[in-house]
Amino acid sequence: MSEKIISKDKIKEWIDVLMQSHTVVAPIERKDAPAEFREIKPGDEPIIDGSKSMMPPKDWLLPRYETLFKVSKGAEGAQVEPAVPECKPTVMLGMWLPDAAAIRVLDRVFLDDKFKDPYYAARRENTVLVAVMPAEKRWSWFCNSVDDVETWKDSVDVLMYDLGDKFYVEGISAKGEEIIAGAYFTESNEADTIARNQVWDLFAKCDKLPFAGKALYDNLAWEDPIWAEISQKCLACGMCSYMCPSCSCFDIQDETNGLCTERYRCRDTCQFEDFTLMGAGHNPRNNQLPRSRQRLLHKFKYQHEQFGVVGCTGCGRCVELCPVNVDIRDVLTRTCSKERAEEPVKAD
Amino acid sequence: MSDIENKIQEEAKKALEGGDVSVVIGWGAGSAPFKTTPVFIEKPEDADKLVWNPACVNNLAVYLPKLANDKKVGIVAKPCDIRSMIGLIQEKQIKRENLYIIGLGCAGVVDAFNLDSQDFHLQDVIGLDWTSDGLKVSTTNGDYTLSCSDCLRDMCLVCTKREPAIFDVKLGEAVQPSDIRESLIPELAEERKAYWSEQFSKCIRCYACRQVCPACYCKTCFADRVEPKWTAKKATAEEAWMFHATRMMHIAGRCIGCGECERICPVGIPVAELAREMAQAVKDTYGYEAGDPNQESPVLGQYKEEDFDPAHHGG
Ligand code: SF4
Ligand code: SF4
Ligand code: SF4
Ligand code: SF4
Ligand code: SF4
Repeated sequence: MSEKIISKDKIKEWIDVLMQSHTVVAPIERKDAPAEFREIKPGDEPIIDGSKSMMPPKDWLLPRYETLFKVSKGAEGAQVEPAVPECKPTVMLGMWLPDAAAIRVLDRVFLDDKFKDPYYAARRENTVLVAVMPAEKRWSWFCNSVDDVETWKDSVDVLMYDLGDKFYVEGISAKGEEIIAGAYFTESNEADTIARNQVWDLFAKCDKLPFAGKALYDNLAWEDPIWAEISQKCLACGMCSYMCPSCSCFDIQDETNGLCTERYRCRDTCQFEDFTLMGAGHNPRNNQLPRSRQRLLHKFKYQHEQFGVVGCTGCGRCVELCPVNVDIRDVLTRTCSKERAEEPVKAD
Repeated sequence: MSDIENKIQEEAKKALEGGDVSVVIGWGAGSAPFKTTPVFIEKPEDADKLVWNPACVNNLAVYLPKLANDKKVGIVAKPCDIRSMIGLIQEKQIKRENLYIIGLGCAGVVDAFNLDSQDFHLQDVIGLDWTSDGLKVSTTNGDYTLSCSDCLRDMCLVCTKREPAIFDVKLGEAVQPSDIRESLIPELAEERKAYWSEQFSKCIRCYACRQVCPACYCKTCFADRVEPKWTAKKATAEEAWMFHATRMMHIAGRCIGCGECERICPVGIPVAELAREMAQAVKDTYGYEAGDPNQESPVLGQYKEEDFDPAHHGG
């Protein structure tokens, strides 16, 4: 593993060189809106400064709207036009380390050997992930309470630490080493390493919340009065999953114009009423209580059982955005604390 | 604890003890000092969970159509929340006699995200309080005072109706900041179409703006209908136009300007700006303002001979 330094004013040059051989994706500044991950085009202002981007990187890997195929009827019958993207090798830059860990969760869902998603795979398999560790703590983080964050380093190819006017850069994989071989990367010294450790400790050594460890998935229960409590205030706005970097749910819709039909997928969430609505009108989750429960159990129980990782990286987006302040940390603290688990539970 | 907060708790307790109010909806302490969370108080002894501070942003009227249709509900409310209730009463979604309104005189509320500043970060904030000079933000590194224009939510910057229009108990005094603005509606300009196209191109189609809106109570929103399909779910600027334009027509003369839709939008689309324009158009054309307790029915439910009619008056 190589350890280097790049000054922030050299980032642009580095990106320009990367763009000769790669599609480069980064959070791009937008007017009056949070920066969004997309391909850098000439004139764009990518934000690679260690700040956390509010829009999740899944906007690139699992777009909000994507055509799956088109079918049109012509003289020779139906023509199917597949829309699996062809992707150049890609570098994704500027995401925060927990967001890279969230991609690890998406990978389990979409790159599974049995059900590989060709659309996701086309973008993902040839992608080098470069993550950034910010220098400042944010009030909503709880990453090191949901997982051993040390293991997250393996989910990226390069890890950059924000040291003010420069980044400390670690090449983690061979693919990563390749893209940090340029001349604008210089040797690091001992002071840099100390500063790097401080940035890491700020993130990895903050206090653990009471649910950290096994309590996280062992104590979550199907019957728990807390589901009634949070579902009562939840407005089913879906923000906690649309903006969540590791939520993967999507909807598939058809749209027909004349003789041409487009099948596309777009975002969906278990918080919506019609998410589990069956064709015949039956809805197994027919009120908000099972929907609120689903979000928590899916992230912390089902995904853990299925994949061995939890579906939440503690990025804090849902904490910041929920309009009624359903704070996932509170919910977990209460469901996973011992007293809570031993309380008698009332049936639905 | 503020005086008003104490009184709110007392009134809520009394209402619950009286027996005919089954639940009091109000704001409780949030998970951070600059957040509050809706609470549903059922037992008199839980009334001390109610808070009143500059972070009481939620328009709690959004819960009423579901909660107050078959029982009496107490609600702690700001003047704008009460105007939402008046609309819901006029539209026969709730009955006045099913409400016990603890109405508050208002000094405005703040948007937590506007607080993060050069001087301090949100994680250092330990408390918020109104003082005569503006908002006092207590932080772990000392106290700061922000002027109203630096921290009030947009809607509060233009709000002139800071007294509850209807109530069962009234607490607190309205405070009108000196730096109040005339209007937040931009001049109608040629570039408007381009402006909104750009705004709508950001829309992720989460429909959160609809979910938080007390006026959006339809059992099935047109946007969720599959047959006929009014707007597709895909996140494109064209479909977002369709969604927002239709929603705006549906809330015209009904939006009371609480700004919840704008607060929640994760990509910063000024949805309420459109709603304000619609409200202005309705006011100019029909002399009607939503949330007015002196009106018996909503503007679309009234017919007056002298009403503007494009067929007769040229449109
Ligand atoms: S903190 Fe919330 S938004 Fe972030 S990964 Fe966890 S569930 Fe998703
Ligand atoms: S939490 Fe809900 S929306 Fe998110 S991945 Fe799980 S089921 Fe899907
Ligand atoms: S963000 Fe909050 S209100 Fe919206 S669906 Fe999630 S929990 Fe419910
Ligand atoms: S809240 Fe914002 S992003 Fe979501 S549907 Fe409304 S305007 Fe679009
Ligand atoms: S449209 Fe927006 S401002 Fe108007 S009532 Fe609904 S949430 Fe409030």
